[in-house]
Amino acid sequence: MTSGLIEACFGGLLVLASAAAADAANLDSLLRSLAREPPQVIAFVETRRSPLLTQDVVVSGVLEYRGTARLSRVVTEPYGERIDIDGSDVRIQRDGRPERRFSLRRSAELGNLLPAFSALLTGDRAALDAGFETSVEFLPDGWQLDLVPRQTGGQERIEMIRVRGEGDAPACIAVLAQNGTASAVIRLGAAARDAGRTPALDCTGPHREE
Amino acid sequence: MPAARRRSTAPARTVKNDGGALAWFGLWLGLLAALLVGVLHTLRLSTDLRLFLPQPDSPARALVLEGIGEGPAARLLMIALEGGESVELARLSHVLVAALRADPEFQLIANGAGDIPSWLVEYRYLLTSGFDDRPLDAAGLRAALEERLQDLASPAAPALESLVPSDPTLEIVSIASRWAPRRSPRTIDGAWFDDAGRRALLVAETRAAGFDPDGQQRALDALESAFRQANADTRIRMTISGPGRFSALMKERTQREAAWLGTAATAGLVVMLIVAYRRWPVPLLAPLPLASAALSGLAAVGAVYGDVHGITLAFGFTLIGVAQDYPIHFFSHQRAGLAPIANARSLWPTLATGVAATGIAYAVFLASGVTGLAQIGLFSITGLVVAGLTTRYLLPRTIGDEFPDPARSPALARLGRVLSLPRLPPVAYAAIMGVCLTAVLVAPGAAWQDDLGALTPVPQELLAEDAKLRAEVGAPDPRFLAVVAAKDAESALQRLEALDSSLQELVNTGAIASFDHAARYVPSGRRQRMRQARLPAPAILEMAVTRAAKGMPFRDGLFAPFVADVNRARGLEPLTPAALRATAQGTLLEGLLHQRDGNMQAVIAFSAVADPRSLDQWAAGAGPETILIDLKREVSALAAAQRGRILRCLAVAAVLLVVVVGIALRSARRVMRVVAPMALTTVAILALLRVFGVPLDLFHLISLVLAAGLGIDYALYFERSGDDRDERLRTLHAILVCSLSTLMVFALLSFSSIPVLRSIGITVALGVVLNFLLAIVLSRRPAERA
Repeated sequence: MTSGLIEACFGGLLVLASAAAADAANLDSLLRSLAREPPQVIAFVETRRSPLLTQDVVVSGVLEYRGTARLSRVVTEPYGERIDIDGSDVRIQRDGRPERRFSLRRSAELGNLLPAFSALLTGDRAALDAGFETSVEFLPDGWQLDLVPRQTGGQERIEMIRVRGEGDAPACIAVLAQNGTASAVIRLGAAARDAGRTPALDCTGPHREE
Repeated sequence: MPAARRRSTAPARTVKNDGGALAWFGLWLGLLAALLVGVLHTLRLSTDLRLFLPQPDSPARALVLEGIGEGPAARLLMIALEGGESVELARLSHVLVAALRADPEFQLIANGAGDIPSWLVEYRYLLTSGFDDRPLDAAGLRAALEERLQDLASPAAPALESLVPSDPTLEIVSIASRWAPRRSPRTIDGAWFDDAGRRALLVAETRAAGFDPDGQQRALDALESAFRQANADTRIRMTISGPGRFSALMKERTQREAAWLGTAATAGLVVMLIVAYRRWPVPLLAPLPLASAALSGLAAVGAVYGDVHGITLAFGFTLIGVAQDYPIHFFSHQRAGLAPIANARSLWPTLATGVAATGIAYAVFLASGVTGLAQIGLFSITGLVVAGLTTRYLLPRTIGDEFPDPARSPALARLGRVLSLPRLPPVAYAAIMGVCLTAVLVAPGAAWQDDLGALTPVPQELLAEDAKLRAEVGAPDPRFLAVVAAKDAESALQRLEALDSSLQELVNTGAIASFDHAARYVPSGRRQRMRQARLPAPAILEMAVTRAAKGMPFRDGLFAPFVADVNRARGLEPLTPAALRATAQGTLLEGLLHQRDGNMQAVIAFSAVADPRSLDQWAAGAGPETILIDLKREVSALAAAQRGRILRCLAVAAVLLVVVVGIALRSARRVMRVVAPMALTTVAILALLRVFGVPLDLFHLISLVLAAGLGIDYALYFERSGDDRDERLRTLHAILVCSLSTLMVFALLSFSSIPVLRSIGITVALGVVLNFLLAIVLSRRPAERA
């Protein structure tokens, strides 16, 4: 799974360099371009599929990034919900309900999503490497970063977090379950606005992979 | 020093006059060794403080006795991990819990990661209060399903997916949070942390009682080794706090100090004996009567009681300290030309009077009705009698007669001039006595130390840290608890349930932070049956589920496990506390609900009591079966009662002592001369302590008894020495050696950092000096003025 385009670019200069080394250099430059100063507010649309449900559920709202390990997920449609993550403390508030608290540890998905998201927005390569095995791929219409968790925290297991984007902006994050199918897809920014009412459960968006 | 070495170094030179001396010495050591082996085999050291407390006279006191060191609050250890990233601290916290969960030293170890045994899950519809106020119907289910749908649309979905089909209202989650010990602190990575998020917090409940320093030490060692194994990062520190930690710490400190004080005292004693007698076997022989006293005292206590309390040992050894003087009198009177046997025979009446007077006085403790005190009495009496008899019959057979006569020492002769000091006139005696008594009576400040906490010299900062940690993990306040009596577990649980709303009111008004009792974990059978009766039948519930899920995207038949579980719950036999025994919560429950004298006793624990008055008012309205216990108040009352008992014993002992001395001396004047120094010394020490604002504790009292015993002996020997110059000098020599060696030992103790040792040291040191001086000016026979 190496990208011909990028290898061609570097090929003349680094004939002996391994693909991994190239990946590393690419990832560094990608991370530098993705880094943002907090606070950031990013619109999102999240599509989720559950074996308990007959149809996918879709919620939308904004992600508020307030610095390392501090993230809020504010759902505005179709109901109000606010999840605040501070360190590994998770608080869930819903309209007219008492607040619930739990730990990131209890959920492998959250436990992996947050560090990944946080590392991308701070451009923290070390944090990313600590939590995941990474591989980056550059496609003609954008890039794809695959993050395989080194350890999972909760009872459920997730196989991979796949982030896709174009230029200096991530467009989509997919959480892939053990069988390789996506259990959740989060579209970000412009991709969220383009998603429509019932977005499909894949992370391909405008960048179709062959 | 090992007996074998003593034997091998026993010189032949000094015993050349008597070939049997070495044999007698060997026989004596052999007897001691046999006794030692016997004692080690039969005697068990007990740490149960109740041996030392009087029979409780009220149910509250009975509980206090039970609670001292044994209640759950006293067995809790608070553990803090700090100095690393919170993620690493949390990881370590979970590793510790996993490592120690199965450890036999711990009943419970918790860090916030709640887990409920899987077999308990089926009881959830009997345990939950979720349907007490509203029924399990379509409307309630609809609200729950709407929430679950939102959960499934959130990142929490994967964690909840397995739960929703059988438990759509998440009752197990609310039970788990109810079962999480008390007020839960904040959690990071599933582990408790302090509010600042810097320290990971854990709570462990030891199996050993709080006052059992050895058991606590084992638990602490297990903790330390688990911590070392789990933690490669040397920056991370573990702090352990709690009564058990303090008791282990104090034992360690006391032992360390006692060890160096003992070493220093032994070295000083050896030097002093060599200087005094110029015969180096003396330091080998002089300890033998005391060693015999100690071992036979222990053997006697072991034979009668089986257990001996640590305090018995401490006090008992203090009291038989007077026996160290017996061989010294013998050595000081030994000189060339006097057969040792004859010497012992001539000292015997005085020695025997001393033994009898103190022994009979201590006999009062035998009748005190308190096991610990009776043990002290038995130990001391046996010890003193054995020390007297060995000094009389064994010691003389182990030496030759080649001792320098102190009466020939010019230095002593010069010192002997103190014996020509004028006697203290009775008027002056009465005046000093009057001043001292007045001081005792009118000195300001508390006369008695009733705060037992003041005796445990736990550094103040550790106590403050303990209180802070306790508040952070919501551990029960060790001072307050309420007890509800009932005829069986079921009625106890019903009573607790009836008190729930008034307790919640205390929380709401801020009087307490939280409360805990058995019914929070296991509701009464009546309540469980009531809940069962309200659970809908399967057909009805199925209809309700269908109605509730209408228009929602849940798969058909998804909630069949839920309907089945509710139906199973309807047929369950209600959960009893007994059924929970084998679980982590069961041990917790055991502390909150237990059998006592054929009745059930439920404990209500409070955390962070802010307003004791409200608690009092609550207790007053809670019915006659509920007693609120303020441990601090009760323990003080117990200590006061105990002190009264000891004081009465001492008063009787004083009278007996005078009677025995009177029988031995057969003269009121001679009795006066012997008793007067001791009486004035006792009152003077009391006056000094009072004037310097030192509240008296039990250790002062016991030390006063030792001082009095020493005083009686000094006076008896001075009184015995009569007019003969040489005899007076020998007596002076003996009493100088006795008092200086005793003074040295106890002066060392008075520099200890441990209040208990200091109390004993100061009191006895003062007693030795005063008794010595007063014996010189009061106990000599007036004839010498002629």
